[in-house]
Amino acid sequence: MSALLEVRSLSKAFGGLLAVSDVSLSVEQGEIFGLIGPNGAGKTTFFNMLTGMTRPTSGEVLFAGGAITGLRPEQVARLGVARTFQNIRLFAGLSVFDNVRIPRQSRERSGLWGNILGSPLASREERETSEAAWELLKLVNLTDRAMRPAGSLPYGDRRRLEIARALALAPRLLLLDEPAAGMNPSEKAGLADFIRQVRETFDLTVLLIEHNVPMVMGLCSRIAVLNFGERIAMGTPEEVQCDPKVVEAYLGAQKRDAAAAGEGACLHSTM
Amino acid sequence: MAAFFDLYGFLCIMILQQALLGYSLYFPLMAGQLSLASIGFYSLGGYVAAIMGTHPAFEAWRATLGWLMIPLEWLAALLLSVVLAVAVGLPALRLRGIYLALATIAFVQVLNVVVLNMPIAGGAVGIFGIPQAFESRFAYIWFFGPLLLLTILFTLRLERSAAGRNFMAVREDELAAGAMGVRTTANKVLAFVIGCALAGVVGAMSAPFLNTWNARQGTFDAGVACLAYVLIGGSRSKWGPLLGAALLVALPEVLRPLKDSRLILNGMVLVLACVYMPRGIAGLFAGRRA
Repeated sequence: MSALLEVRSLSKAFGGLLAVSDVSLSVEQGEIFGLIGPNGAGKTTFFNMLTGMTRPTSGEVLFAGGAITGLRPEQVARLGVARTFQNIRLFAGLSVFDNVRIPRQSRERSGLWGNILGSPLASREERETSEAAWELLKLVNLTDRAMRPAGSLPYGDRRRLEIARALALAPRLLLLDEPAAGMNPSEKAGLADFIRQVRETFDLTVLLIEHNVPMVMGLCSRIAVLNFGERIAMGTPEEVQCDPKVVEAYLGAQKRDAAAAGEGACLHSTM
Repeated sequence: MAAFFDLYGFLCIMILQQALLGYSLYFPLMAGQLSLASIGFYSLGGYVAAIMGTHPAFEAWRATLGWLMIPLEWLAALLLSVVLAVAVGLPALRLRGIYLALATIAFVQVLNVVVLNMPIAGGAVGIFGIPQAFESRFAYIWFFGPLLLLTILFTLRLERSAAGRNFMAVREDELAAGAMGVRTTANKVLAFVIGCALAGVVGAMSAPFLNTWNARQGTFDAGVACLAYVLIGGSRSKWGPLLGAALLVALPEVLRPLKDSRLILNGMVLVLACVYMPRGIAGLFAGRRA
């Protein structure tokens, strides 16, 4: 296995506030990697730096061996990094179908006039994009509502549609920002299965931000923990969940002392 | 029928012409960009046609080319508009929402002052005696009619194509569009340039139609009127600019028997339309269907 994503000493300062401080990690090809941490730990800022939405103050991001630091979001996306958003950002006024067609269009070669005049190339690309989008809608069971505005879907469907939209980019790396936010335990279990299935089907690498510790523990092969912008731990779920620093970040100093004394104060790994 | 066209022929052409200016703002709006620059390009296109139609320097061209001079004027206005729109659009489209609108208003004002101080544009008096293309005013339907038809066909195709969906993705959520591989800046500039190019050509067609051309063609008021066509007609519908222009251009004429109070009523119609038809006239029809 080789590293698909490598992050070297990435930092971001907003004025005097160090939102992300000197974080390094590498995500191996094919793994599901979890990024956890309490509120305000810098997880989303970290994602934004990976996807070109926030320019890092210092540090470097390598994707498939090439530097992607400082590229614009669409350039990063076109290299094969897709993401979802913590607060779902669908194209709410457009149809469910169009939401999934738009990302795939980024690989089309026909231009404006080809589109308007209906050149053979544009027609073929339009057909291919629509077929691929339809397959993705089947995967998330949204074909029956394909022509409805995306904003009219119920919450759970919007979450799934956002993942389908990200998959439409045909990415190599999928970044999921709190995909289980607002879901109940059974929905979370369903989502975890869905993520595993998607990773298998599309031969993906997944980097996942999640608040929900049990879900991350069950799903990820490795986990990094951020707190106040710093990476305080990294390793397998078993290594991380009893790490005193992690226990302190989540449960407070008292529990940390218990963990350090080997009294079994770990983060729970059952849902 | 003939009597109707004698009376209202000019008005009908005005509706087509103003609808075209409405469409020139519809394209940037499709990509979520509120621009008021069109009227500047309209004014510019008119000057191009007026100068090419009257200036002594083009005498030899006119003598050789004859009526072909007219499409050449359109082409010149188109090319100049595209070049200027790219130059203005690239920096201006970094601004968002109301700031972009302000920047485009400023652009129109600057353009007006520049034109007023250019001797070739005739200063405040402007350019008059621009050669007519047709005997009758109504015959100008052969200019504006086909252009409007082409514009609507273009819009229909655009909305159903990948290019149009890219615009709409930027309108819906620019950040998400970027994350999904849409080239946001290029699409915004493209939508802006399409609108400006259309406005430039409409200007070039309007100069002979109106016979004179001066800086009053490109005022802020006229620019806001173009935006009103789109908003009243329906900014999310390809028929919006046409419906809006038809209503707003015809309304003062329809209300003419009311003499001066028609201006009050005209204003009231606009306010009520904004309050009760947020999706414009086209939105009413869409509501019926759903």
